[in-house]
Amino acid sequence: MEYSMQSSKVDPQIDERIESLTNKYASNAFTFMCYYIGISIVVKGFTLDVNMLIYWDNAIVLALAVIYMIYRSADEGAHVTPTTLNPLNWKLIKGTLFVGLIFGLFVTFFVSGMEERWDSFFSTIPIKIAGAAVIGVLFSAVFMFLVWLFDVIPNKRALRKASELTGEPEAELPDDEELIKQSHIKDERIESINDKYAAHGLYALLAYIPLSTMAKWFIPDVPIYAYYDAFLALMAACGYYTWKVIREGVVGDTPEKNKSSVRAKVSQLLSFLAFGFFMSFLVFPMDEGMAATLDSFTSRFTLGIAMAVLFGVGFHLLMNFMDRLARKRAEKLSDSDQ
Amino acid sequence: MKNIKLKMARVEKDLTQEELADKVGVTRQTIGMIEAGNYNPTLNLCIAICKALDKTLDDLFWAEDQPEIK
Repeated sequence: MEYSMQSSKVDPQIDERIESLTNKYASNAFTFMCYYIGISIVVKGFTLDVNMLIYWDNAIVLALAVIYMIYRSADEGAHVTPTTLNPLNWKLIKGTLFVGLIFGLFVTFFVSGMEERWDSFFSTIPIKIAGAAVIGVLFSAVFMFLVWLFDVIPNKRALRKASELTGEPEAELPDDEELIKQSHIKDERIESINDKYAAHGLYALLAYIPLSTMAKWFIPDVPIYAYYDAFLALMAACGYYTWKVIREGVVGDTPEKNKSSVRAKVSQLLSFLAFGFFMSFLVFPMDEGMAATLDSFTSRFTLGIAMAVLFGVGFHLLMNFMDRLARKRAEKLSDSDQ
Repeated sequence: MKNIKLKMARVEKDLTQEELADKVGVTRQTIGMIEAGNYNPTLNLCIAICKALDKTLDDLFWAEDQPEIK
């Protein structure tokens, strides 16, 4: 937020309370998506008999969003709960080798039995143990690469940037043992920077996951259950975000009688109308099931108009309802003189 | 903890929450929440409020019984 000594005004477009609260809850929603997609990829890998490529795209976009968040935070001199600054942390390597070996034994002795070709490959106990050792080493190598990518480089960069920004010599973080014990950052500057870029991560997922879900919907022979869960998880995360910002009195908390607020409402209504029309006129007829009933231009156009009105007006009313709820909540939380 | 000092300074200047909010570029609810003690403003916003009300930071935001931050 810009502040000028010549004027007592801060940037009128940004209310710091709204900005910090929306970033905080968007960041929580993003963290939830990180856990969900990470766990679901592993679970699906073991349980679903589908091509992994169908749902790996979400994980790749998520990983890019996390990298963006960590490195942008580092550029502002904020680190993200570091684990180590040493890429050859022997204690961590030993720990990951041990966990990897246990995981490898689990895979070679139990999971491989579920699939015939793996069962025949891991046929004897020495081969199973050797396979587990290889998996352990690979697991450790991948883990240490991730530590290097997500911890070592960004945190060293954050220390260097912080030193440049303050003009002071580089600060020393606690040693590795203390870092591993440390679970949460309580520095409000670091938290707010992390939240800001995690919120950008959530917005990236909001743009990507619905589009990829829609695209997969039209790919024949792809089971919907294999990828639809990420979309539902995203909707749950957005539901949490909406509920929290309403509880904090944030949604629609823009200054009343503000011309830009009226313009925003009109453009919101128009975009909902356009989206409803686009979906029903252009996208629905691409679906095989619906194409049979939407065979003429007139039927498509009629459905387009009807959906635009239903979707556009419906969402507009819903947004206004949430706006009113948030305003009521804001009045309750504030010592209002209105 | 309610910020009575801010509310009194605003009333002394004969400003409504909305007028003060307009002066410093935030929403009326944000000023209301600062007065109600439900939001901790940043130093930038504190300074902007102090300038708008011709007060110092000590006048409006220093609290003797402020709990220690850990």
